[in-house]
Amino acid sequence: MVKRRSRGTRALLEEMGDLGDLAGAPAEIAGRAVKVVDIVLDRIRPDPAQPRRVLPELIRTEFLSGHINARQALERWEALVADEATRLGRPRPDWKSLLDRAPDDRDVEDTSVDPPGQPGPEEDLLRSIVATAATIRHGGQVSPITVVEMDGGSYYRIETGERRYWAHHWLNNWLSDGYDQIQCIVVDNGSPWRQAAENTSREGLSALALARQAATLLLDLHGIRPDYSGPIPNDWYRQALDYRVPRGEGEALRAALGGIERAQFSRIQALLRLPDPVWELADRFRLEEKRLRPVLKVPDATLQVKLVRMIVEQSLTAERVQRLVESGELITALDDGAARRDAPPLNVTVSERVANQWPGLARQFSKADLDFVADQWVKRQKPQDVRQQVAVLRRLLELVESRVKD
Amino acid sequence: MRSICLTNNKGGVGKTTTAVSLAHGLVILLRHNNMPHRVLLIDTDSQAHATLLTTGHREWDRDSSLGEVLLARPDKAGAVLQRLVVPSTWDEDLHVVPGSPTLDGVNTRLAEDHGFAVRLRQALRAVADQYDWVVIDTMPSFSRLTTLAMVAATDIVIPVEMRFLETIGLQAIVEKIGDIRHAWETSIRLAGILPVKYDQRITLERENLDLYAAHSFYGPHLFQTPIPANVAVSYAHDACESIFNYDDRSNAARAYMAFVRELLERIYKPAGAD
Repeated sequence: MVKRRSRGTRALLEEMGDLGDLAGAPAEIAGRAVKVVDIVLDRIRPDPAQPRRVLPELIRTEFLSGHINARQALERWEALVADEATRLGRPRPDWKSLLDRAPDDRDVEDTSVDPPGQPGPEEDLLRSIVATAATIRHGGQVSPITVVEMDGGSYYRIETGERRYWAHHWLNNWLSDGYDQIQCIVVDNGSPWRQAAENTSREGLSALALARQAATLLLDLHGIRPDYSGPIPNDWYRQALDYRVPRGEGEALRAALGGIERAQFSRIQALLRLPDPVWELADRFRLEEKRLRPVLKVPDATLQVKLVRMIVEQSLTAERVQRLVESGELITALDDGAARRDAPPLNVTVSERVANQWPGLARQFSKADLDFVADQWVKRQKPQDVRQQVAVLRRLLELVESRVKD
Repeated sequence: MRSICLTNNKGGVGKTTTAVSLAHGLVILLRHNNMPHRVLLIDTDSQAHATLLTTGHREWDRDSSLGEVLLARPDKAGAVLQRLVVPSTWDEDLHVVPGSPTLDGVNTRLAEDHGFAVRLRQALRAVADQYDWVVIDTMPSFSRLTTLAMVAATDIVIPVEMRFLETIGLQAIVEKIGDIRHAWETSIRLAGILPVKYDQRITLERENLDLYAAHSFYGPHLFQTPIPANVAVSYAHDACESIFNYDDRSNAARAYMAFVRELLERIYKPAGAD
């Protein structure tokens, strides 16, 4: 027979029970507890300033500008992959069977498939989204995404988890039932530093994504944050080239980028100087910093783009790129490379496409009824989009004028 | 809702005693400070000792224990969990999801399900509004049940004796946490390492404690107050009582209360806030 000695816990609590500051801040404690909520996908938007890109660039820009919705973005991506597969002589991916396969089956079946050629980067990316979708379908959503409440709760901006967001949209498009919501952790204030920690802790952050990440954090240290209402232009990141790391912040900044060295930070930051078409190619093909570094030494932007295309098409190593640039034989090599190209040519970048089409279009302006053009332009698009496009055109005209004067 | 998982693949190190003392300690300490204090204790051990201690019963089977939650269809598991919760005999704010010997069979059956690891975590969402804290007791092995308990947790506490065989297994547990974090995309963290059954009269235990305190990784994770070997714990178990209810002046009760306080501080106070 045991004898109970305690008379409640009063004596113990009187002696040791006061939690001091902790007890004084129950609201704060409640606020720090993680709570997972289901939010309808349509109320969530990706972060336009997210340095890590999920959607192909052109589709991303259209989606973030509000010209297409998430379903249309995925449909365009699927069509893009189908076109790319045809161009490369590969069979079109069977998305349904990929989605049906449980994660355990994937390795087994993959070894039995031997389609010709390698999948393009857009297919690689979409396959990874569908693989995530299959994991969610068969095993549930293990990890909630993190979102920030915007405009008093009218919508939520993704801080981390954009791939899971698109995987849910994919499931919603294909299966509909039960996938119109996603588990989220709602955080009070968005933080590019928390986002950076998530990005750099995972593999596959391309050199340009890391450069954008570095720029975002550096600008944040100077109190500069992007306008989240639409796509962030590359020039927004480039303004980081004008800022120095504030005294005493360097270590935290480099730690947030995965613990890189001071010299590596400078090299990453310098990539921001590369022209837009190089950003697009480097993002699509996930080019590493060491292969892009020598490109910075090429003085002409057109040559830089050509060199990066050659790097991708011929899978040039960093050493080969450096030798080419330092030997002074770059132009000859570019001509030779174009002549003996055996791989299918890469899709042109947005900048190249516009550059090719613009002179022909510009010649027709004098024959067009400009009133009618302006009227249609304004009628067919949202006012803020038109304003943004006018600003871009104005910048283009300034650049052209300055070159014509020279 | 914060979830604390007590784990160590070595048997007899005091996981269950620590789990039930933590669960009750959270209730009484947080209630004393007018803070949210509803606690759910989940017993994933087939020995079901935590269930026996906190409910006084051991006649739980698959249909009335955690096993039913883990084998339920994922969309029904939350509702099953809510149905299976029973009150403890210790405190009105401490509830229990009973374990049972049938959990061994459940562990085997889970091998057929590649998504087994998230089953408990998903089921717990159904009670997220009803409880402020979840404490999970685990079995002494790295079984599937232990994996799903760790995946469901936000924080891990490792009770460990300051003896040779116990301490050499610590690295494996820390690595297991890293594996689970990576494989199941969770953000669980090691809340701390708790020295238990500590007998300061034994030189070897004192030396081991000093070694751990000085270690670059284990040192900062070590809880300040070791739980002493104390006969009051055995008497409390014998009476199916909480150590706080049985003898709140015992060394074990004081040490467990100090542990609960320190755990709360570690969870809620940012590093360097002092």
